[in-house]
This record gives sequence, structure tokens and C-alpha cells, in this order.
Amino acid sequence: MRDRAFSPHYAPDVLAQARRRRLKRVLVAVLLGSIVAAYTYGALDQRVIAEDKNDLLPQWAEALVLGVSVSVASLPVGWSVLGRIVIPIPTLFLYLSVFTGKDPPLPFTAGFVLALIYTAALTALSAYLGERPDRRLFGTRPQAPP
Amino acid sequence: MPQEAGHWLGRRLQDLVRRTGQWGLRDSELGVLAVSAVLGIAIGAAVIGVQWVVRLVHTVFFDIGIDRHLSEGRGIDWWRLLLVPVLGGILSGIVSDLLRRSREREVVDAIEANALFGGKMSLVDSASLTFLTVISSGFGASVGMEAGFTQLGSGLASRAGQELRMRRGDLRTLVGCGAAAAIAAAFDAPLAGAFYAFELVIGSYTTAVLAPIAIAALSATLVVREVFQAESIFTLDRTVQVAGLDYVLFAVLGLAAAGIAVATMTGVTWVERIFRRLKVKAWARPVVGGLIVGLIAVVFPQVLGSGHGAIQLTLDRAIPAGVLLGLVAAKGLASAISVGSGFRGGLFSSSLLLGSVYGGVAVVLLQIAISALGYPETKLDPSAYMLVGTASVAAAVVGAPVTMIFLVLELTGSLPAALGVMVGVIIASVTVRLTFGYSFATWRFHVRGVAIRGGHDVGWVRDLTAASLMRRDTHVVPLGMTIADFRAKFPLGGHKRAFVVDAEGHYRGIVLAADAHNPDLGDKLDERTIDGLRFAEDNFLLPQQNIRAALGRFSSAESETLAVLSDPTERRLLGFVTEAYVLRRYNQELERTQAEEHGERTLFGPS
Repeated sequence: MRDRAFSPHYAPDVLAQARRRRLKRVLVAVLLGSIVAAYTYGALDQRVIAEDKNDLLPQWAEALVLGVSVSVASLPVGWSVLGRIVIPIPTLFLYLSVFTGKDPPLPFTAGFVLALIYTAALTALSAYLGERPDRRLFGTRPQAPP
Repeated sequence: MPQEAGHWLGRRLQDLVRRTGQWGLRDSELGVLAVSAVLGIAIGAAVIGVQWVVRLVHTVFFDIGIDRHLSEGRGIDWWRLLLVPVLGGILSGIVSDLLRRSREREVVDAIEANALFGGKMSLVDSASLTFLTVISSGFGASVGMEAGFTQLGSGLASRAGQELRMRRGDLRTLVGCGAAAAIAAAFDAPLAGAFYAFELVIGSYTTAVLAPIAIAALSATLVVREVFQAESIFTLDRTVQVAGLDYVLFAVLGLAAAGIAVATMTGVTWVERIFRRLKVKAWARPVVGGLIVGLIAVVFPQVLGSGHGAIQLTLDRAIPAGVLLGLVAAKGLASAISVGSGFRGGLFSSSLLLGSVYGGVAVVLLQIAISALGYPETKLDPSAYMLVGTASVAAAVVGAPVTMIFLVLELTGSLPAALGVMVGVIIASVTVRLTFGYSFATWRFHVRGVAIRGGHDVGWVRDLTAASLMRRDTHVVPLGMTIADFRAKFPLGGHKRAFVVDAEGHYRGIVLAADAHNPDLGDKLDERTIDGLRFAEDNFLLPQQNIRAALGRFSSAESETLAVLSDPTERRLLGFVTEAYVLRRYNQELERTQAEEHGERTLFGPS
């Protein structure tokens, strides 16, 4: 629980500005999730090899799960880490199936490496958007003077 | 030996230009028409040449046939898809870095040249930028070549106009001719080319500039068609069916197209911001960008290059709807990353492809929605929706709605399609203008801090500086002078004002003769000084401040006269300007600009 004694006090316009910034970051997260969902749906639709299309869920549901995970992982909240936990495994398997199932298919090793890169890129991007290490989150405790 | 040959050729060209200049082209409207026709032919041939070089690079590095488009994406090895854009990034990074070292200034494009520099562009800068665009598009970055074409065309036209010592208005028109010829040649569409120049480069349509721009666009198109037999970027071999309901849906399509356009434009800035925050070196940015584009291209090879081949595939319905959905996201990302990472090129072609795949997805979704609402017998024509999507997104991104309507009309020859496109384009353009306020070109100016919204000539405002407006016949009096001495030196009916300077020669204000002769001042005038009569000590102009800043300063200072000083610390008096004169010059320039736009050469030009 936040210690009230150390909570900074902000003027109303600063609070409003912070709310707008927060809303913008939420919108960016939702937009990124939508882009990832659309991209993944299109990628999965390129698979032509039957054994690579043997999915657990319908194609649209898989794309949606990944998109929602990326959206959650990119939110500027503490629990966005849950999204980041979900992203890697489905991304790796889905994109591995894309690379090895498209026409012409990629060699397994190349497909695996590229799927790993996709996984790392999505996780890193959502972590960057969620945490913004270069910016202090509004409401966090200011640095104590040395 | 080649250097000597180059010198010889240069001398012959200069000689030719000098002789041509003696024909009196500067004062002849027919002369401007002749120059625009010649330029159209030259630029048409240059565009074909550049396209051929790009195709050659595609053939060599992607191992595709010379007659095939890169963005068809068929039969390209996965490792080429991944690595060639990286190689392009390395080349682009090195060349950009070398150019940055040799020329630190930004390259002036056609819009900026016409808005601020009276149509003056550097041919070397333009050729360099075109070369970088060839590298970018040739090695697979998701950018269009049109920016390179217009830069080359406008640069050539500007150089020719400068050599022929054309007037400011004619030079601006020639820059428009260059852009019109380039776009007309690139798309085999003279009307689209001409209106591209009117909407973006000239900033307005007037009958005075119609003839030269139309001639340039036509001659470029004729060269491309008859001499090189070049093909259109897409063809439609079906009749487009548009009914009453479609127009309503086109409006909806236009609304969403505006959102896609804004997302793409701001996406570029977003990518640039991420690169800056991560402190990636400028030369390394295209390498990283190329790698990301390569990773996207392994899944969606259609994102590579300008996208002409993919537009045809989309219109031929050779790409499944699911893949189209992914392609909307992939192309938007790839274009934003390519431009944002420093590859040179524009979003003209990219937005055409983005729009066509968006239209392809939208028609599927709308058909599902209509069936779900209980009208399964209503069938929408996918071609119409793809065309509307294409033109709407491109109009919103490029900022040229009429150009896009004509482009569709010229490429399809279908009036129903053009009418439908008109609805989507207008909605998309108005939405972007009201919500975002910029096209991609003006957005880039805004990000750079250049306050221009189009090709309108606002350069004269910058050219009319305090230094060029000021009078130098200042009458200077020392600080501490008595009023009696002042009255003796400046009797009523003589000079109206004097400028006060201190012992070190620093400006300390203005004293009006009328104030010094005010009967209410009382007596003991040989003891009282003029110091109390001074005003505008802290209100002055600097030599480089323009006429608009000067008018603002007159208003805020509530003074009719302002001193022009060397700088705020030294405060050396250089001259002065009066509000009446500045207003008169402002009105004169406004009238001159207006007269030039309407072709009234007799007002301030030759008869």
C-alpha cells in the first residue's frame, strides 16, 4: 500500500494531463493488440500444409488471444506482466506453424529461429510500452534526494 | 578523360541554355509552355529510367524476372526476403551518413520550395534523394518511388527555370510542371499528375498555370506510352457495379480510411521517436528498419517495395480475405517502420496498396454484416470497394483528393467507380482535415517545425525582412539632451522622430518631435532632458525578423515606429521602419502574389 506521507500532491491541470497521457497509452496498447491480432490472423491464413493447420482453437480465436495478450502486456499497469507471461508460448508455436506451413515452407531451424525472434520482439515491445523505462509513471514515488 | 568529357558537355549545355535564354523565354508565355513541354518529355524518360534501375536491382538481389513486380511476392527465397532489406539498410545508412556529412541542411522538396523558396531547388540534392529512394525501394523497403520521381522532376524543372532566369511565379509553375510530369509518367495518368501539382505543389488551381502543367503532364505521359510502352500500375478488366446503398457504405469506408491514414502517418513519427529514445545511431536506423521489414516480408512478401504488383493481385482477388486482413496490418507497419527508420521514399504507393487491401477486407465484413441483417441477396462489388479504399486512404495520406479521383478514373476508365470513389475520398479527406489537420507531407513539415500547410507561396513573407524594409536615414540624439536643444535641432515641420543612444552608442528609445514641442511641457526646457519623452526602448526589431513579426511587434508595442537593432545585447541602431510603410508593402506583396496566381502579368510584371 502506498504511503500517504510520501504521496506527491499535483495541481488539477497536471492530474488532467496525466489522465490524458494514461488514456493515450491505453489506446496505443489496444491499437497494438488489434494490429497483432490482424497480422496473426493473416499469417495463420497463409498456411497451406495440413499438419500445420491442426490448431487447438479456431484461427480467429488464436489471433484474438494473442492480440488481447499483447494489449494487456502493453498497458501501463502493474498487472500487465500477466500479458507478458502469456505472450511467448502461443507466439512461438503459432508463428512456427506459419513459417513451416506456408508455401514454400521455411526449413524448420530457420522457422524456429524466426518464430523465436517474433516472440522476443512482441514481448520486448509490449514490455517497453507497458513500463516505459525512460519515463516515470504518474503516481510513483519521486526519487528521494541523496 | 571522362572528367574532360564532362566539362565539355557542361560547357555545351551552359552554352545551349544561354542561347535559349536569349530567345526571350523569360517574358514569353509561349516560352514557358515550350519549356514545360520539353521538361515533360525529359522527366517522362527520367522516370522510366529510374523505374528500370529499380527493377534491375529487384532482379539481381531478389532473383525475380525483370517483367515482374517485387510485391507480387511469389517465388522469392525466404533468406532473400530477410536479408536484402538489411543490405539496403546498410547501403542507405552509409550513403545518408555521407550525404549528411557533406550537406548538413535538409533537402528541400517541391512543396517546400514553392511555399518558401520561390521554386528554387538544388538539383544535386534532388538527385541524391532520388538515388537514396532507388536504394530504398530497390532493396525492398516498403516505400513508394513517387517521392523520388517528383523530387527529380521538380529539381530538374527548377534548375532549368533558374538557368533561364525565370521569374518567381514562372519558376514555381515549372516546379509544379516537374511534379506533374513525374506523377503522370509514373502512373500513366496525365490528369492525376496535373492535379497532383495543383493540389500539392502549386497550392491552387488557376487558369494561368493550367496550360504549362497540363502540357508537361501530357508530354510525359505520351513519352511513357508511345516511346517506352510502359504499363499502368493496375488494370481492371471488369465492369464496376455501384448501386444506391453502395454510396452510403462508401462514406463509412471513407471514415475508417481516415483512421488508417492517421495511424500510418503518426506511426512514422512514433517509430522515429522510439529510435531516438533507444539512442540508435542515425546510420544504423535503416539497418534495424530493414531487418524488421525483412521479418515482416518473410510472412507477407507483398509489403516489399512500392506495392504495385500487390495492388493488381488484390484487385484480381488472388489474395484470400484472411491474408488481406493481415496485410493491412503488415503494410501499415512496414511502411511506418521503413520511413521512420530513415529509408527515403514516400507513402503514395504504400497508401494505395494499404487502401486496396483495406477495401478488400471491408467488403467482406460489410457483406457479412448485410447478410446478418437479413439481406443476403444484396451482393456488393468487391472491385468498387477496393477502388474506394485505395483512393480514400491515399487521398487522406497524400492530401490530394482530386488527384486520387482522377487516378481511379484514368486507370479504370469507369465513371461509376470514380463517382463512388468521390464519396469515400471526400469523407476521408474532410475527416483527416478536421481531426488531424495534416497530410503526410505537411505532417513531416510540422514535425520538423516548418510552418507550411501546402505549396502556397508564403516565402515572400520570409523574404521581406526588417533589414530589407528599413530606412537607414536615422537621426540620432544623445541620452540626456535637453528639450531646448532637441527643439532647436528638430523644429516642427522637420524630421518627425529621433533615436536616442547612450554614450556607448546603445539604442535607448525614440523621441517624437511633436512630443518635444508639446506646449504642456512647461518651462525650464534648457534644464529638462528628453529622457522622459522616450518610448519603445524595449520594443525593437532585429534585421532578420520578417514582415509578419514586424506587424505583430507594432501592434504589441503600440508604436508607429520601431528601431531595427543589430542584436538584443549590443543594441546598435541600424535603421527604422514605420507601420504605414510595412502595411503598404504587405498589401503590395499580397496583390502581387494574387496577380501572379491569376496570370495577370501586367500588374507588376511585363506587359
